[in-house]
Amino acid sequence: MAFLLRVLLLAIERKSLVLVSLKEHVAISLFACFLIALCGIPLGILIARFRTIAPWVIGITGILYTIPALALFGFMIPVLGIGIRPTLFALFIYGLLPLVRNTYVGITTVDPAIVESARGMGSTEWQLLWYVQIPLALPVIVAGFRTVTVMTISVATIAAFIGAGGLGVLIFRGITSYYTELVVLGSFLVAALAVGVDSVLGLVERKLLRRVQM
Amino acid sequence: MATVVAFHEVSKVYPGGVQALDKVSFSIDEGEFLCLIGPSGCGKTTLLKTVNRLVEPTSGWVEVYGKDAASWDPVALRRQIGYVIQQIGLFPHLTVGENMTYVLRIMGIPRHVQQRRARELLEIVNLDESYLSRFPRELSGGERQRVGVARALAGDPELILMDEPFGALDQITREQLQEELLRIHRKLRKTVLFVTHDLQEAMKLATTLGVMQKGRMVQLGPPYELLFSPQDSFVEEFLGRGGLFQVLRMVRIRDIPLLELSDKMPRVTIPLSASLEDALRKMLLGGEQRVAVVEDGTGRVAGVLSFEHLCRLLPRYCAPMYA
Ligand SMILES: Nc1ncnc2c1ncn2[C@@H]1O[C@H](COP(=O)(O)OP(=O)(O)OP(=O)(O)O)[C@@H](O)[C@H]1O
Ligand SMILES: [Mg+2]
Repeated sequence: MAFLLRVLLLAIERKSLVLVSLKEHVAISLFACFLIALCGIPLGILIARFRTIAPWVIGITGILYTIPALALFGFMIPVLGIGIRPTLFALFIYGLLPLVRNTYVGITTVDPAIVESARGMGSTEWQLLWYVQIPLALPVIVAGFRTVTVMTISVATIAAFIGAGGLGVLIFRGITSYYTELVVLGSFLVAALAVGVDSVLGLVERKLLRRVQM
Repeated sequence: MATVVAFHEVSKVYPGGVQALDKVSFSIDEGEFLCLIGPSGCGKTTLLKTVNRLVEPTSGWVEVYGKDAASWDPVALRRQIGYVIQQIGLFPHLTVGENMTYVLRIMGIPRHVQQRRARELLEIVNLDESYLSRFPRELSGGERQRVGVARALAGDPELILMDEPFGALDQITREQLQEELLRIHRKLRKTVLFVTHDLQEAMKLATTLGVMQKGRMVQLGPPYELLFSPQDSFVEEFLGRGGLFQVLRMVRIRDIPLLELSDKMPRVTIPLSASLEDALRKMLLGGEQRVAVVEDGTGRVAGVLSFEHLCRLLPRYCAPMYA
């Protein structure tokens, strides 16, 4: 109890640092998620339209996904240097797979009877995608995006280690100065941010799900 | 009469080796209501899908609207053919109105035209305007299937393909929708190719009945013809009891010639509006060879129906029903 009180007091005392870090964290995550959505969703749609390339694309994004973060930095820093660019790159690499895969799976698992009747009425393959498959896949796509945002928010903590700021700064400083309260404060804020965004998107997902159910 | 669809020795072997169709040849004329019936797996769905090119024949060819289907652009062809499947396949994210006019939307027809057409379609399938903005999940099974039928009519196609459209409905709703479909068919004079499992349904709807077995068309003709002169024991057994009783149920006494009341007045009477099935039941249960037919309401004797007469003339009685 006393410990928690100390964390709270610390938050008030270091208000400006906390706020700046939080803002940086949100900005990095938001931008990364935006980039991931911008590439991941069209890529998922594309491989659902041209199925033969799907295993390749999912395979490659899958390999990227499994690269350990530490190794990734090892590769990146010599090329991209430190700061915001390698951070965004890393977040992008990790976030791509869940979104591409969910978009692809969402589109390809739409009720075959619905697809058959749309095709049987004379939809072109693109019309089938835009008017039927994508709208019906939306809840699954949003579910993928949820995974991506939570992951991005938590992985963005490492940005501090390569000089891009964010809530990782609190944790980093806490660790190097044996200041446990600071570590806890940073971790708590990251978790709260992730949970908050996750539940908002969860609401969106449920709403969409209701729309596409029979 | 113009031919709408013609199958020319159509065969289909699926990858994996299943022969679903084996040299099927026949044609469908304008305004015909052709029911395909046969055991599960005999190739009915496959045959239907060769018409709108959801299935491509392995050999032989299908002629649709006077042209080889293979030479049609599949998208253009499908837009001119109505299509209803058993699972209906309504779009859950679109309203009833949007579902019905989907084909107009993909053809790029203006919105206000779509909306006007949606109202007409609702009227055709007997649903009121409040349904326009409802979603499929807010409808009963029967209402969904009505919307499915309306959707197939949206582009005013000459030909409509229906694959067991009423299979999933309960008996009462099914019969109601069959009546509606008959009414729509009489009114709009569409050509219908209709697949069913249900013999009663086929006897009721078909102007022409095709019995399939193992990918072949065994016999094709007016339902009474298959009933009274089946080509082989398979057709005979397939139509069996169910077929006969369905026909008896559908022939009204008022539609057939009666005998004059010459000698004694029969003990049992039956109204003109009754069916042959009713008449037979009265004869069998009453132990009578003859029944007097009376006009509904007035009770005036219109004539006599005899068992002997029925036995001799039944095929002829049934023919006009399918004319
Ligand atoms: N896409 C497919 N690939 C391989 N075999 C298939 C395919 N579709 C159907 N078949 C096979 O072809 C045969 C005919 O199938 P079809 O669906 O035309 O039968 P059906 O008469 O419509 O049966 P039911 O009354 O059960 O609907 C069956 O043996 C079926 O297993
Ligand atoms: Mg079938």
